[in-house]
Amino acid sequence: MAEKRNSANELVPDDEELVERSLAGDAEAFEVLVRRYGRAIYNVAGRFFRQPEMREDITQETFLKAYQALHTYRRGASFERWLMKIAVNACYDALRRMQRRREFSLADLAEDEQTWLEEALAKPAFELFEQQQQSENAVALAEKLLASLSPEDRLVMLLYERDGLSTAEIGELMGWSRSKVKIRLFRARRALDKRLRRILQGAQSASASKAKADEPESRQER
Amino acid sequence: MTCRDIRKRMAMWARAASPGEIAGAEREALAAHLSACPACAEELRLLALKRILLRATRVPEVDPAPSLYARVSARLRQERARSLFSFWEAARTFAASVAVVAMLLLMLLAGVNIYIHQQIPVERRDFISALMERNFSEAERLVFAGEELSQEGVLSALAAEPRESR
Ligand SMILES: [Zn+2]
Repeated sequence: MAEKRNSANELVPDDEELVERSLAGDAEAFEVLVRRYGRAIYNVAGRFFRQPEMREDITQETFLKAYQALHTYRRGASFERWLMKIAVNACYDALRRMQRRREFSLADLAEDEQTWLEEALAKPAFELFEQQQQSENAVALAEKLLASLSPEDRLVMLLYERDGLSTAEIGELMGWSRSKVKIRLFRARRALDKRLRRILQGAQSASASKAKADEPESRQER
Repeated sequence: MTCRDIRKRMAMWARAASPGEIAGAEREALAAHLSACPACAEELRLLALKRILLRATRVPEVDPAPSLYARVSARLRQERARSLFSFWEAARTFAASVAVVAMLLLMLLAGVNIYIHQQIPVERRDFISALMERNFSEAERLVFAGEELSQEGVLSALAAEPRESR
């Protein structure tokens, strides 16, 4: 079996060999795999969850599931990809277990978040599009917005729109057909856009009424 | 640039993964269109907000706390102990079901035996008994001697030592 050498020039068993040793009852072999992919799994969980405890739970669950399903791993396939599938599905399960917010409302925003939103939307569209700076308020607002989406919508939004995965890649990770991914993506966009439009309208009418109160003669911007 | 062109491009820009800048001539054409078309400007505003918010949910890749590995190891050890325990549980369940099957089989055989004893006349029963006890020569004698197969006759014949030869 192929073995690599690490920087210290020691023989390093490859994933497949470690899987086989684990299946034969070698507990230490699986521990090597845990140390090899622990960081990657932890950061996959970070794509969906901000809190370290949640990401640790997902990591633990992923390795436990992998250990229990080790006999289903097909030799020759990438162990890392196999593990990633388990991790993303663990994240999806966790999203489904979470209490979903009933609706997104501007009234749920903290004052700072509201101010951030008003300032952002006061900019010309072009400038807003190219804005790179991040803000804690944007993070909090985004979390609230995403929490109002269904688990499927949330998952495809993050993987496709934010992380740039293809529909084929998402399909492979989730075990969904490509048409299923496309339908979910369509629905997710519609759901998110509906909320964003409400935010835009709300913020505009708020700033319009503010402008009216400040300067009754001012020309209202469209 | 028409509204359609703009919207098509927007679908591409919508993904937060795409780079934020729109360059050169395209930028000028876009700016010109947007200043004249509030509908497209509003659409871009929505798209921009979506990008900003989605990007805000990104978390930089970091190393997990070292304690995570110990935690995972402990959970795996627990799982190995559990699966070993459930192996013995399964073995016990298997042994128990084997015992039940054996008992059912015995009961079935006993039932067949009782049935035979009830249905078959005494003579035949003795003949069968003799066969079962492999006292073939005695059974043969009983059949071919043409003797009357009375119960006492058979019993006394069977009580006798089996003959050494025919
Ligand atoms: Zn237009």
